[in-house]
Amino acid sequence: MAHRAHIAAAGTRAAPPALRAASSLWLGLGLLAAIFIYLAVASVWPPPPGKPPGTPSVLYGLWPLKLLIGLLAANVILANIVRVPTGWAHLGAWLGHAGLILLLCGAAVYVEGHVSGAAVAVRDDDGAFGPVERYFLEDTAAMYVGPDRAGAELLQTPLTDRLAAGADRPLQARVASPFDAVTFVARDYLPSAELRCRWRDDGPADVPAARIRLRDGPHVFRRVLCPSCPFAREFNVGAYVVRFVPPGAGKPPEWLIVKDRPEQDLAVVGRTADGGVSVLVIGGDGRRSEHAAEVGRRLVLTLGGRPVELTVEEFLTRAWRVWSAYAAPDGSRPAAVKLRAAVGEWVGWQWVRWEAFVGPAVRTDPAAQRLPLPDGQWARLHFAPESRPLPVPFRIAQAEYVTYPGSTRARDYVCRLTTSATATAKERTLICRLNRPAVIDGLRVYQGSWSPKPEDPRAISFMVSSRPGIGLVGTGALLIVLALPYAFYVKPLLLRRGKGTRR
Amino acid sequence: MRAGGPVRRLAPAVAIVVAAAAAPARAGDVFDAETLDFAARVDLHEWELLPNEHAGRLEIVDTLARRQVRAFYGAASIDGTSPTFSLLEIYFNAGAYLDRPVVRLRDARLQARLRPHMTPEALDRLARTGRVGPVGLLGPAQRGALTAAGRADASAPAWDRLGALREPVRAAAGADRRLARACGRLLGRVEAFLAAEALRLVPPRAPGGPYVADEHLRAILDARGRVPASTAARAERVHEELAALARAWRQRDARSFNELSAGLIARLLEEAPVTRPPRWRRRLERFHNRTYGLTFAWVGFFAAAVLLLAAAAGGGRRRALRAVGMAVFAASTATLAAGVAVRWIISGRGWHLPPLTNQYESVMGVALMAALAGMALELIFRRGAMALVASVVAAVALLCAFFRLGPLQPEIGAPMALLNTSILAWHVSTLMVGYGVIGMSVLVSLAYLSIAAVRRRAPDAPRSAGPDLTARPAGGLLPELDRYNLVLLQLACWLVGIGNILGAYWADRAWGRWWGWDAKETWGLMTFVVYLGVLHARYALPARRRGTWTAALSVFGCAVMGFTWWGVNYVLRGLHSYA
Repeated sequence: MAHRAHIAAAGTRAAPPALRAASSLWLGLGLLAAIFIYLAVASVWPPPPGKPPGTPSVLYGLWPLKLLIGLLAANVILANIVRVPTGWAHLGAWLGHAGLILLLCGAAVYVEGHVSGAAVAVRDDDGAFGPVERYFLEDTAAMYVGPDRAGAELLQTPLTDRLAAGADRPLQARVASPFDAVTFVARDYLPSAELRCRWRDDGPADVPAARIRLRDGPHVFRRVLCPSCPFAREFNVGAYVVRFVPPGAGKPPEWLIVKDRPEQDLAVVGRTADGGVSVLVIGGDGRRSEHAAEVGRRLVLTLGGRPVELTVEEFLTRAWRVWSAYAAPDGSRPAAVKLRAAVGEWVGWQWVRWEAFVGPAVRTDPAAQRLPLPDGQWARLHFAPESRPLPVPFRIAQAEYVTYPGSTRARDYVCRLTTSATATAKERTLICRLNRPAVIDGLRVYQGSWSPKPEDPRAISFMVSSRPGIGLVGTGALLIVLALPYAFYVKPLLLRRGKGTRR
Repeated sequence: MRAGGPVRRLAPAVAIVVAAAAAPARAGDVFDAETLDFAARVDLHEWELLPNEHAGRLEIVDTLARRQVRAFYGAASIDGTSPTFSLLEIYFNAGAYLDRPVVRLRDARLQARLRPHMTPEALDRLARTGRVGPVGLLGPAQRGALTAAGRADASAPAWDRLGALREPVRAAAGADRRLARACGRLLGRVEAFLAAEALRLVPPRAPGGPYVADEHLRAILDARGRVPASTAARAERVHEELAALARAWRQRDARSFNELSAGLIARLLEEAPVTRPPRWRRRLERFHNRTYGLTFAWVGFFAAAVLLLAAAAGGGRRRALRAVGMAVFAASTATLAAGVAVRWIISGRGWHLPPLTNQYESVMGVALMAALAGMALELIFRRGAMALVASVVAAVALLCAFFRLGPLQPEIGAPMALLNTSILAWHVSTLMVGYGVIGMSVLVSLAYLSIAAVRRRAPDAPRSAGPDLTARPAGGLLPELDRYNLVLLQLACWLVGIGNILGAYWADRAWGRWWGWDAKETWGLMTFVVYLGVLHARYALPARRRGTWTAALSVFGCAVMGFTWWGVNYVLRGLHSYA
């Protein structure tokens, strides 16, 4: 013991005081304690607003933790140089400390260079899964804009850096536009937004609509009926349906042909030439009756076998539905961005809610926002993670939900993937299952969620990631695992045999 | 009835002799005399071994009965009958027990809140037994409506009828969170009482299909015309057989029930040749149930600890006491190992997945690993100390498992799909050894701190383990304890490190990243940091303070380990949490 202390003292005596202080064990212990306290605080710190519970805190990514780890690494390196003697007896300390440094280097490479995201395969009506060509990067954000028609391409504009700059600065990001003469700008951002929908009558195009009020027993409904808006064509109560026929559509014969659910009563609101209201009721038994009224006057109709008060409050001529947003009080809602569109003198805006993916899976998602444009077109807007093309697209050839014998409980989720033939890769088949990812051109593909029902999935999501620096991490971990027993058990044996330290 | 071994053949004769000698059955708190008499006549031996699907595993009805009856009644059986009889009586005849004390109500405050609703009879039963009938929880008007509806047979969707319970019970809780939790537990017990669909006895027609309940057969019969004719015919046959069994049960016709059930059970077993577990495994499961999974080994560990402590205290019979203590310790370890092995076998998970997939199993795992580690270290040190601390750790852990403290539930289920990998075995078992060793080290540390406090002076301690680990250091008891502590801490540090690295390897394969600052990962790293700190601190501290600080930090490290193991799961949110 005395011999070893002498050697250690001999090593440090030659070093300058600053170096001795920087390499001191007390500093290393202090740094370990600081890291411990920092991690304890970070582990109980609430997740960022709009993120689900269990999401790691932002504290893990901040500079103080990186600084503490960096200082610890420097302290370990200096301690090895200045204080740890050479010789077989001290190989454990050298290996362990080298392992720690390698592990930290690998972690740095990984943090800076890895990609991580998700990809989705959606099954079409024929039951076959469509190709997976893109993946969505974790912890990124982008705005997607495109024409609102099937198969139309969406242009994406990354917003990650702008949003990372902080919510206290106003967002002012130009968003790529696929429409001539239309400019889009992302204006505002709420990390956790409560959205509220309302109708306005100053849209860019002539879009007729009627705002109605219905009192059905104790229930009162206020709705806007807009035949050209797919999400507001009718109001279906269950026992009856209410629709609006705009003036230009003419009354007969369209007035009579719209009843496609014979068992329900149908009330069709029309607008007369003098601005009045005409309501045609077609009962479940086929009887028709027409009622005249005025805007703002109550009309009592028999619908669904009970009296219903119907009031047309106003007619809209340039209707469009906008979403307004305010910060969710409990921070539990997803984020939203306000997108402003300008065409000539007309300026419109829409709040767009955050989505996990953009693609066929969200075709019917109510979060997908639309914005009318002056030329009669509709813009389709998505606020979602940035997407990148996969190096080699793949397709699910077979998806198997494996259960435990005699039960419906999942034992494994197995996908047979076929990669598409491209110039860089031959077509081949890969198996992706839980705990066993498939590797496609350097990217690892992991099983994600099967929704809505795992036994009969319509969409299967995959996690996609790369892992640069994993070799360094693995080597470092292995060195630590070997070094500890060496230091604990081999070193005493060597010391016993008298093969002490030599410098 | 089937012919069995000699014991089985003699059983009826023995039963007749015993029945003749016994006094007439007396009514219990729940079952009346006629029911208890029926319990003595009905043969449920094969029913107990019948496979039944639960949580992805084909368990036997005996296992289901113990869990289900305990869930609402608070004990595995009612009025001294077998668990299977208790379950079947409630299953076939639940309507008769809506106003009997079958649902345990432990919370005194909730009892006080619910008292105004209860009838004098219900209050009397509650005072005597600590249990109430589901109807006793209702207000008078609801009670009248429910009793009129009754529950004539098991085919009724009973929870719909008792749905009215939710409102008065929740109203009783008001805004009090603790009471609301108690209400949740109470409603859960009522739901367990009514969970007739828990009996998933009917095997699939094809090997890959699931076992189903009688409810499912009724759904098939309702969909007749849209399902294949053979499926409907089989569903009808089995459904009618179950209905006939129920009729015989309610009429207390033991002979008919025994005959009908023998035929039905034989057919059910014939129809599930591929999926059902072999008979020897089902019998092993019943043995496991009856022996509490051999968790009574805590008694042996406790006895071993007392003997080894007596040996350590000295006296004339020191060697003899230590030898006996070591023998008891070894026997207890073997018993516990057998219990874990039996659990592993009956789980049917295969060799790659030992029973380490829930908190209960991890507690048993820590007990076993601590005992094995203690035994291995005892083979090196041979002073009885390692066996002593390992005995205490194993006894405490097994006590928790035996009395099912907190969230510990001995249920053996199929693990969720992500856990169905051999990496789990390596990752968890390494950490379990580490946690067991940490438990041992904290006992040594507490002993060190106590003795040092009494003596008011701690001796000098070396920076690290000396050249000869097994040599007795000079200076008496404290240096010896310090050396044990150092050995255990070194082992714990290494094992926790390996466990964390294996966890990162698994996360890399399962979640697409090897590190993600999940709460469990973070606290696992923090545990490793603490033990690295303890071992490095010995190089920085002056010799006189090394032993004391090492012991104190070891206690702190054990607290951190405890939070990593338990606290993270129930307090913090993350991929490992149940919070």
